[in-house]
Amino acid sequence: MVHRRNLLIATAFAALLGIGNNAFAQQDPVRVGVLVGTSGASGQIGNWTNRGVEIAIEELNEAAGFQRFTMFSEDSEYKAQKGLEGFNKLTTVDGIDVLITSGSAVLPTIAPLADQRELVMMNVGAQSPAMAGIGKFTFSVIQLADFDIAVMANYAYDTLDFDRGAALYISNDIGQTNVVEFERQFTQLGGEMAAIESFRASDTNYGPQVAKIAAAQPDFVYLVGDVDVAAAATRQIKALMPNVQILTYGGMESQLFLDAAGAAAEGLLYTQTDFDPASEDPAIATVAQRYQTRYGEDFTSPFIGYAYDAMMIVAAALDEAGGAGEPLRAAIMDRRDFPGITGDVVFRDDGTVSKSVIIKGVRDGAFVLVDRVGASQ
Amino acid sequence: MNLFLQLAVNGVYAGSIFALFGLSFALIFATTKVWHFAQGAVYSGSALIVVALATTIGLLPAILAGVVFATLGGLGCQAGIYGPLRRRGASMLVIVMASLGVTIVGENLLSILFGPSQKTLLVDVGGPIIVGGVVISRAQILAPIIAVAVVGLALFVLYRTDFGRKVQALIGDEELMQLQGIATGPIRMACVAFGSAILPIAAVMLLLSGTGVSPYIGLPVVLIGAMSLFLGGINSMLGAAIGGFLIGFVENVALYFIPSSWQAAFTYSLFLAIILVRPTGLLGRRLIQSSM
Repeated sequence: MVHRRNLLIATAFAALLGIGNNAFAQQDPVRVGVLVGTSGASGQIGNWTNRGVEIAIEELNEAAGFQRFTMFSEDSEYKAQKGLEGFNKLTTVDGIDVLITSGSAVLPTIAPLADQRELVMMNVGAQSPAMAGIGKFTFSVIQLADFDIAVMANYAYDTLDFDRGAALYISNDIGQTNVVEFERQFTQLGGEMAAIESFRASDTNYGPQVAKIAAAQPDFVYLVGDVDVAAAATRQIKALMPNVQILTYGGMESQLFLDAAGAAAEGLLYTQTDFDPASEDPAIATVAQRYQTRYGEDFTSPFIGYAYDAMMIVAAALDEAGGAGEPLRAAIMDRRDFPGITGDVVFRDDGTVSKSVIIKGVRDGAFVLVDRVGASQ
Repeated sequence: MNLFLQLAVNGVYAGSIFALFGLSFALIFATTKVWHFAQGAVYSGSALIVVALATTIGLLPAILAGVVFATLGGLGCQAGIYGPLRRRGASMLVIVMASLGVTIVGENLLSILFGPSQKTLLVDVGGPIIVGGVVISRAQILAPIIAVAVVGLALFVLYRTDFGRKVQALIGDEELMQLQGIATGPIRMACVAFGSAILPIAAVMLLLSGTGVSPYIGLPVVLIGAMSLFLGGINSMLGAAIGGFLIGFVENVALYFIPSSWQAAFTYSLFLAIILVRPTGLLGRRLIQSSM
């Protein structure tokens, strides 16, 4: 009898402990993983992404009055293998509930694994058109490159009045995809791509390719490559063709590019999301102020904004979902429309988004707004 | 613009630099019999030093610093790694593996020190000269002059001085020299020092045209050096320089006929074809097995 009574007490105590654990579990912070390249040529973009998530979490935790979210970060170097290692660490060791990531080389590797694990991933930097529908649990907060490319092709043909182009691209999936898309868009408009040349990621001298491009006498060169490689290519293009217009994409918007390309960067044009970090919009100004206070730097890059928006979308969807995994994915898809400082985010069925795009350029050694031409789709 | 002439100008430029790679690799290999893969790390390290210092202390002092680094790096490999391994009876394969190890460690150290991304030399050397529509940069004018001067100096020392005759004897039969009581160590070290010191000069020629440098560009340079050596003829300094020049020239001019994506495949195919027809290289002599 005594044993039976003890057993009942023990069971009741254990049940109480269990209830208690569940109650505490609700207070456990949501584990947010960030997998971006923080070292290497595009490290600045990765660091901006980390900071964007950090200030969003800071704001959310302050609003909640307790540590609602906690962040775990890994460096992917924007490489597939490193990305996979980082993903495994974040999921198996850190036990993350949601992942904020980028890198067109990384996402194809980890998106199927995220689907297997029912882990919601927010893409805040990979713009390859291949990101569309890459995974059921992957959502892109940044618009994909095909729209940017269409805007740039139109701008080159209609506004700059160019009808003869050339392209120099890094010989990988991203370079090839972008250049094929640009050629398709530009020739559809009536333009001609007179020379298309590629180089290997390990190359440092692009003299032969640039010579072939120069011989084709293009109005512009559409350049696709990693930041450091593109900077060296920009210098070599300008050395042989001082007056040619170089067109590229938003990934170049970093101090590393300006430092490495030097005076050759002057006049370069690229596409970027229509987002003004210096805007007087209270939502942007508040985030900019928080960023300035925390890091002692001005809020200058949209990549900070993408990361901030991604974290805010996760928080808002979690309120409705009540938990990570499939409920969170379903909540994002049910709601679809989220406000953001980089513009409203409206997810399509394939997890992609469209935003307005602008033309920016390098003037007097700084990135400036050149034209506001690309309306959202 | 005449594309063929432009590519030929580019070819002379690249060939001049590759000639220096060939001479550097050949000089070190011929006198040490070591596949000096670590030359890649020495090359990229010296180039990164030039880039890092050029904007603060000026280009010429930066080049001097690069030359000092390369010389010490080459001598350090020889005195600190290859020499001790050889004295302990290590086989040539072990020494080659050690050299590869030094390259990988060196690349990673350089990546920590300078960062992994490409760096460019931001020094204004003046605009290009345009002749008949062909654009010739200052670096393209300078490179052949410097290459001829360096190769000429090496050949003059090799064939016209007493020291050069000792180097030739060392290349031919080191044991015989030692039997005659001649210390071969200092001769070998002098050749390693000269072969290494050439590298930052070649790097600067490339950097002046806007070419980038990263910690990971060394091995392709070693590959070019080795190909030059085989193409020109093992143990022939002139042959290695000519071999390097031909690789650079053909690699560029070939683009007149083929797309740039086929450039490397074309160059290596041509190299293979030549080696199959003439295994001793263009100016090489038949070798005894032990010298490999």
